[in-house]
Amino acid sequence: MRRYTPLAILAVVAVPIVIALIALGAPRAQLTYWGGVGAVSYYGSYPEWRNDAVSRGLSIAVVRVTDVSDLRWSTGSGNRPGRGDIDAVNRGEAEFTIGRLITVEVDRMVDGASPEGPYAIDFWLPGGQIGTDYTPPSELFHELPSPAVGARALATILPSPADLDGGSGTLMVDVAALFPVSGAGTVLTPRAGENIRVESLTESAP
Amino acid sequence: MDLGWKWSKGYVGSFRYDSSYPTTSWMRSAATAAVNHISHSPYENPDFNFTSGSSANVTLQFLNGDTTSCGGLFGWVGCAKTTANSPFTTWWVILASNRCWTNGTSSTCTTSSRFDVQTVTLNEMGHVSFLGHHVNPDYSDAVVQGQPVAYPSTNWSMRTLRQMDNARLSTLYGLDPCTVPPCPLGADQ
Repeated sequence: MRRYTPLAILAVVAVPIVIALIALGAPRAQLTYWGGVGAVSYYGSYPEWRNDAVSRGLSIAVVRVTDVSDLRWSTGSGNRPGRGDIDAVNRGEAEFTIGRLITVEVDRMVDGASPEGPYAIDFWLPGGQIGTDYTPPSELFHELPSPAVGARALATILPSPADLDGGSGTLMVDVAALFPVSGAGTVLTPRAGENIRVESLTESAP
Repeated sequence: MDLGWKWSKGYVGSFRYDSSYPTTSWMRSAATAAVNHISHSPYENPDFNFTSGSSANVTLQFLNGDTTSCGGLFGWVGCAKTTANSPFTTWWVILASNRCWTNGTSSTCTTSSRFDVQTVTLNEMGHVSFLGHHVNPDYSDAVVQGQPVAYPSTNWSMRTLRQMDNARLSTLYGLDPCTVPPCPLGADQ
């Protein structure tokens, strides 16, 4: 009589089950959500938003998109958070999301001081799915067109770069918000119908 | 919002303020009123009772909104977040300390753009009960919105759950044995 090893028995039993599950339409893997599940951002109108940003010490600039990353994690490495980082999330001490890193160059300043450091600065756009991990799109940006390389945008710039990685890595970002500019020169804001022309934005004094 | 998990019907838990939250009585009264309002709804969503202990299901915090402590966004006004893995029985509800807050009478600053403590806290507590933001304009009659208007704009105060909020709570948790709202404390347990 032929003798079966445990591995062979497992294969004999498991493979048909897997095939049967596929044939029957196995349930989809459960998504794991990452990121603030209820972040409230505020946008009333462009004048309000501008005044609010300036009062918080942020600068405003017209920028040009130079790079849009593939979907990645907001860790320094871009990879999924490790066990220690997940423990930090579960203590409320860290936050990780999936999204894209948008690199821009300053075209001209509108309000406030020019950013310090390198000419190219980065914006983190949360939202996306990698495997079974998912970050919902941002409430503030989800209805706006995705930034495209070469396109212009209106950006609020942080007074100093901030580390987006809540754990052991480092991912520095400089841009707090990014509103695309249409080909016709209209700033696309979360408030539909606003007619903000990029060319008419007042340039800040040197 | 669907994390593939929700509170068991009739769950009774706790909420607390951590050391970052101002001890200002009107702020805590407004936030507590929001927690009590959704806790004692006519649906079997969770009830959270105040505790002065060092741990709770929901911890209310007051942190800088220009940091990345809430989903990688800067400039947020309020936030509700939970753990990375289920069961999602531990939450943090955060108001941005760099914003101006009011209860309609008192406020934390004199600027014109003020956010209502009770309204934003109720919004965030809605997320704790797994209500999602209503992005459809037809559902604008809901507290759980992505963009609250600033005082003194119209509809600046939405301190009670509205039709769409209640409809979602009803779908998720069903009616409470106390069927005549508002349900008194403890009557829905």
